[in-house]
This record gives sequence, structure tokens and C-alpha cells, in this order.
Amino acid sequence: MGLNPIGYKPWDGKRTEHGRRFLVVAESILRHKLKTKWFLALLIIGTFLVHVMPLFIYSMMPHRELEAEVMRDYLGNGMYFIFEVILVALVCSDLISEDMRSNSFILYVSRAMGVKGYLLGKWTGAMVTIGLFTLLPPLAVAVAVTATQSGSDYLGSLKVIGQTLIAGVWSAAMLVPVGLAVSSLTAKKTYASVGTFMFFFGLMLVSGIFSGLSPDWNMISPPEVLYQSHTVLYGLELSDDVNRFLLGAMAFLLTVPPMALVYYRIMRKEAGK
Amino acid sequence: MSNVVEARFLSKWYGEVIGLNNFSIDVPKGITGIVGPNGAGKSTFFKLLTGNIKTNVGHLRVLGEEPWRNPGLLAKIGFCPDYDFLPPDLKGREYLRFVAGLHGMDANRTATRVDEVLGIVSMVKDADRSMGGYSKGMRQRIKIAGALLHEPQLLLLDEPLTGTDPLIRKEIIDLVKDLNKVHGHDVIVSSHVLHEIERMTHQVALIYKGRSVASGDISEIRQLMSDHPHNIVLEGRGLVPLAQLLLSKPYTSSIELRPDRLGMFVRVDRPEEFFNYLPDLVAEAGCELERVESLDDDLESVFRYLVG
Repeated sequence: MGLNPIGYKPWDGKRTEHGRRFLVVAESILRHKLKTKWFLALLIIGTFLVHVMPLFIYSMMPHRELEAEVMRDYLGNGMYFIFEVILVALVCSDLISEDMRSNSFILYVSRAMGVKGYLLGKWTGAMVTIGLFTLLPPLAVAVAVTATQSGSDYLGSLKVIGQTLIAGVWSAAMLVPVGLAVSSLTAKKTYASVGTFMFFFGLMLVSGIFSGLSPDWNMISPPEVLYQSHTVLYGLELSDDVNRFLLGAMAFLLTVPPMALVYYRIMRKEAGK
Repeated sequence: MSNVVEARFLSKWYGEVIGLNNFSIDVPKGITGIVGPNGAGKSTFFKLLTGNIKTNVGHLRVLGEEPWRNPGLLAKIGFCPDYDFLPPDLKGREYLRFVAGLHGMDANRTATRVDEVLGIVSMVKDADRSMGGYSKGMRQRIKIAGALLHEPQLLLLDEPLTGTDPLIRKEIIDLVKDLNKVHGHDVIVSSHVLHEIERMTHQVALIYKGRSVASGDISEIRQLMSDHPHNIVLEGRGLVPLAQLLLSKPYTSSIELRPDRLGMFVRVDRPEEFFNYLPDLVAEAGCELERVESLDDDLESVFRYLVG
């Protein structure tokens, strides 16, 4: 009498499914990056230099409809690629390396989020963040050009807008895995960001040196892979000197093996041994 | 279910390094202390309990379930690791909301629960500060808050007192006791310092070199510490008569006098008796003691004694 029995009361609220919890990680990355001054500064400068000019030029120039070639060339701009690489290098630099440094994988894996969920969350967070540069502004350009077109083929323009959406997602998807992979190789985010930038720069350099021997060497240059893959995504014809097999192989090599490497590194480092 | 954890003949190795070796233990409800020196296998045991790693051999049940590849079980377990993993730029409250999201807790209930948990760990005042500015004690508290946020039945606290000053240590010890007494959580807490665990619980398990060497009530462990032979160093003046007196006592195994006669090593079978009678013997021998120290009055010595 007078004493309250001790009663453990389990959480009886609703829980989201395990499979959707990666979104919490992704949202946290986006929130964190949007609070970071350098990221916002870079995003604003990059958007102004890369996207604002085309927005005005393409909208104000007389045009009948939104053309795939115009959008492909706009996304094949060297500045677009450089800013994207810098953003990927900086955004991805701390995503895995910080967890490596502080052993905070346990924060995720001890809370019903496996390594795959963790990786999916990190990848999605990086994709959404990079998408603020590679996807949203190109879509805005495409919509503005469509809105100011003089012709009546809105369906055709809508198709190009859809292709732009895919191209914008692909632009991020092609570079983010390397950024994550380099981040998983070190516990220092500075090394990770420099490493990611140097990886892409190194490939461009090697491609530039050897492309005189054979045009196939062009295909190891990431901006060239991005440009040619955009050509495919916009449904345009690849020129004859583009080796289709090498293009496919490079697209694969830049995306799948880096993610496999991150998975392997995390499994080795923390979980599932 | 009377035991929260049942482990039978667990072995876990990493290449050529053995983490746990034929490890068996039953952990009852309440607070249980896992005590062992650094590298004994405590963290490996916790990783097995949370299903982060898989046993190579053996059988493990946590709250009646197999932990490996059982994410549903993690809803019933709260784990607070020994190392510092808190993102420095997040505020305490933000961190707890993030953790709640990882547990899939719905947003409406999360805010209330976060406030509740902040109250339990006495962190309400500092919840809206960046964690980078937290003291060690605050960091431990917020880690514990993160572990109990989702109302787990079982809390695993890996070395929660490491690196804390005596005042914070007392606060955390009181908190751990409250988590069981007031909030009804079963707690497994590890430490490499026996007396710290002793202040939280009387139910302990000793782990050494990956093996469970003893488990039960702490008074029995204390008895073991008293019963096992001790090497004691004595320093002072006029030690020879004292050595002669000690040699006549049944609890003395051997004596080794230093050549300068200003110190000696005494090996005793029953240290408690030795320490009880020492003042009388010193008075009888007329010597002056400057230092008396047992070289074996620590947990490491008990472990060595227990495993032979």
C-alpha cells in the first residue's frame, strides 16, 4: 500500500517502417548542409554563374520550343561540371569520414538501421543536396524556356523537361558515389574533399594526355562521360567516334564499384563482421 | 522469462584475435554489472547483444530472441556505447529528435518523449545548446537519453563512467539506479572498476580475456579478493623483528627482505587477517612503517587468480 509498483512501459506510439528510416538520415544531411555557410555561398555563386545566365538568354532569345540539344549543351557546360565536382567534393567529404572518425556508425546500426539503410540514407542525402544545383535550376531553366516559347508543341517541351529531370538526377548520381567512396577511405574530411576533386581532375588529366593516341581515351574523362550520357538521356544521336561500350563501362565504374567499396569499408570497420 | 540475456558457449574472433572465448552467462532482471579490464571483451559482448556482429560459435538470446539480423529486437534495446560519437554541431534536443527518427517514432509523440527523457537525465536546461560545448558529464547524459528515448526494456551502458570526475560519476550512478528503480528498465552496465559497479548493483559478472570467470553477488567477489594470496610491500625502519614475527604467523607464506633492510615483500594467504593484526605486530616489533601497499588488491589480480 502506498508504493507504486515499478512498471516498465514500452513505447506504444506508431513507428515508421524500417525501410523508410533512411529518409531521416537524408533529411538530416540536407538540413545540416543548408545551415552551412560555405555550401550556401557556393550554391548561390554556382547557380548565378552557371544557371542564371542561360535562364535569361534562352528565355529571351526567340525560340519555338524547348530543344533537347540546347539543354544538353547547357548541362555540358564546363562550369556546370566544375561547380558540381566542387559541391560533391565538399558535400560528401564528411558524410562517411566523420562517422569513421567518431565511430558513430553505432548510432545508426544500433537503432534498427542496417548498413544498407545507412548507406541509402547518406546517398539520398547527398543526392538531394547536390540536386539543388544539378536538378532544380536546370528544371527552372527548362520551365522558363517552355513558358516563353512561341510554338505550340508544349508536349515536346514537356518531354524535354522530363529528360532534364532525369539528366539532373543522373548528373548527381554519377559523381556522388565517388565522393562517398573517397570519404570512406579517410577519417579526415579535408583529405576526402581534396581526394574527390583530385580523382576527377586526375581522370581529366589522363584523358587529355592520351586522347591524342585514340579518341577512346576521351571516355575516361568524367565531363565527357557526363556530356555523352546526357546525349543518350536526351534521345540524341551519339557521334561515331564515341565508343558506346566504354561509355557504358565508365558510367558503371563511376557508380557501382564506389558504392560497393563504401559498403565494404563500413562492414570492415564496424558492422556485420 | 526470468533472464534478460542468456549466453551459452559464445565465441567470437576477429581473424586471429579472440574477442570472446567460450563465454556463458545468464543476466537476470534488474541492474547487472559487467566488470573486466580493458580488452576483456565487454564491448564485443555488447555488440553481440545488439546484433551488430555475429557469434562464430554459441547460442545467444536477448529478451528471449536471437539478436543477429533481428532489427525488431532493437526497439526493445537501448545502447549507449563507451566512445564519444555525438555530432558536435547538433543541439541536444536536435540529436534526440534525430535518434527518435532513426527509431521510427512518430513526430507527434516524439516532442513529448524528448522532453520526458531530458527531464530524466536532468538535461532540460542545456538541451538547446550545441553538443560541442557539453561537458563530459553532459555528453554521457545525452548519450544515455538517446539510449532510453524509445522506452527500451533493456539498457546497455558500455563504460558510462569513463573519463568522468567524481561528482559526475555519482550523478550517473544515481541515474543508472533510478533507471531501474523508478523507470523499470533492466540495465547491463560495464566498467573496469569494481567499486563503481558496486555502487550501482550487487549483481555482477567478471569477464577476463574473453571469458566469464565469475558471476553472482558482489560480496562473493569481494570475498574472493580477500581470500586470494596477496603480495604486500612494506617499507620503513626496523623491519627485521617484524619479519620474524610475521614468519611465525600461519597466514604468511613467505617474506623477502630487501638487502638494505628498509623494505620487504610479504606474501600472505589471508590478507584480511594480515591487515587486522599488522598494527599489533608493528607495535610489538617496535618498527616504523612508512609504506604498506598490497600489490594485488585490484580486480586484475583477482582475474589472474581466478583463471589460474
